[in-house]
Amino acid sequence: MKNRKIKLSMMFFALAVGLAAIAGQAIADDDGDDDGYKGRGGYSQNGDDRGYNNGDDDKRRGGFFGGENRLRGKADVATVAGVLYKKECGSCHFAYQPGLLPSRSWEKIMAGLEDHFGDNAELPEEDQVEITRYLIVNSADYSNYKASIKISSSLGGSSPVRITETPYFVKEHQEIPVRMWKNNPKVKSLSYCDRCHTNAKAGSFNEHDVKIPGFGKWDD
Amino acid sequence: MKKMIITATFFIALGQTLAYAGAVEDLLSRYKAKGAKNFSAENGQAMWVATYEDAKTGMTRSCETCHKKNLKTKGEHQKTGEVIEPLAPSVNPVRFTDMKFIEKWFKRNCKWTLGRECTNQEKGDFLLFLQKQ
Repeated sequence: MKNRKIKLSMMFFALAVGLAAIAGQAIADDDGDDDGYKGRGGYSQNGDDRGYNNGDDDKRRGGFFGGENRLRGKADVATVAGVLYKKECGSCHFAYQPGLLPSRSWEKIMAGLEDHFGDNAELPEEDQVEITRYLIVNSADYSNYKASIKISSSLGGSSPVRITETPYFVKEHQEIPVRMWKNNPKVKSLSYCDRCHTNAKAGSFNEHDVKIPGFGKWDD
Repeated sequence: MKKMIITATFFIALGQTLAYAGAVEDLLSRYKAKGAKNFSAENGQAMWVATYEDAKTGMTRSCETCHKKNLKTKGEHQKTGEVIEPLAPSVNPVRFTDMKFIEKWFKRNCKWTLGRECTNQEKGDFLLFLQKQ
């Protein structure tokens, strides 16, 4: 009888340890990503169910990525839903929304991970394949979001591997003086979207949400 | 009762795939199975602090370029400034508990720093050295 009791309590302990491990992981997974805009899952683009609506504002202000608001009135680009993409790519740099480049650009980037802008970012093959697929399916080619459409139509068949080299991006950033970014040690490069775009992670690049480190709000 | 044992085993197994304390031991025996001899933390340390010249850029690279001298404090990506959590398991216990993660970064960082992949012997030496930090 006593033996049985010990066995039972050991079992209980083991269960608790197991559960704690899972809970710990769940919390760890969420770290830093919780920006209040929920609604991700699998490969789908969840632009519509985030309970996040700044569409009208965008129309009025004519957002950083243009304000025509032709099709969708929420974020400028669909938020990142890919769990593996966010984990593998977003652990080193801003998880650029797939809708910021056409699929041919993503394919080029993912085929050259051995020299990924000067870094080696090689992935195990199965992860490389899965992330490439995610990026293609959610690329600007298949997105109705404003920024995606504008970037796509600005390309004219070119396949840039840098978002900062797309003509639309260049046009939108050309009036920012270099002292505010290139020569600003807190920014350094336009590649770090979220250093200035405070809602970048939510796919919103509205110029009214821009806050340049060391300079404050951007007002043109 | 049997059901409970199965459930408990399941949860323990699940917990272990997420943070597996025996990851280093498993990797070391895997490297040995592929021909590596006894591992040496001293060799690992020597390779860790050594500098290597990058053929393409002429830049001098070392593990410490990003991980810095003190492994118990945070490192920093040499270009982006992205924070790298401490490598020392004594202050960061999740380090060296995920075999896939370890192998991924060995591949990337050996190629970037040394200009080639590390051998099984070298990886084992590194692990032995790092595990003690």
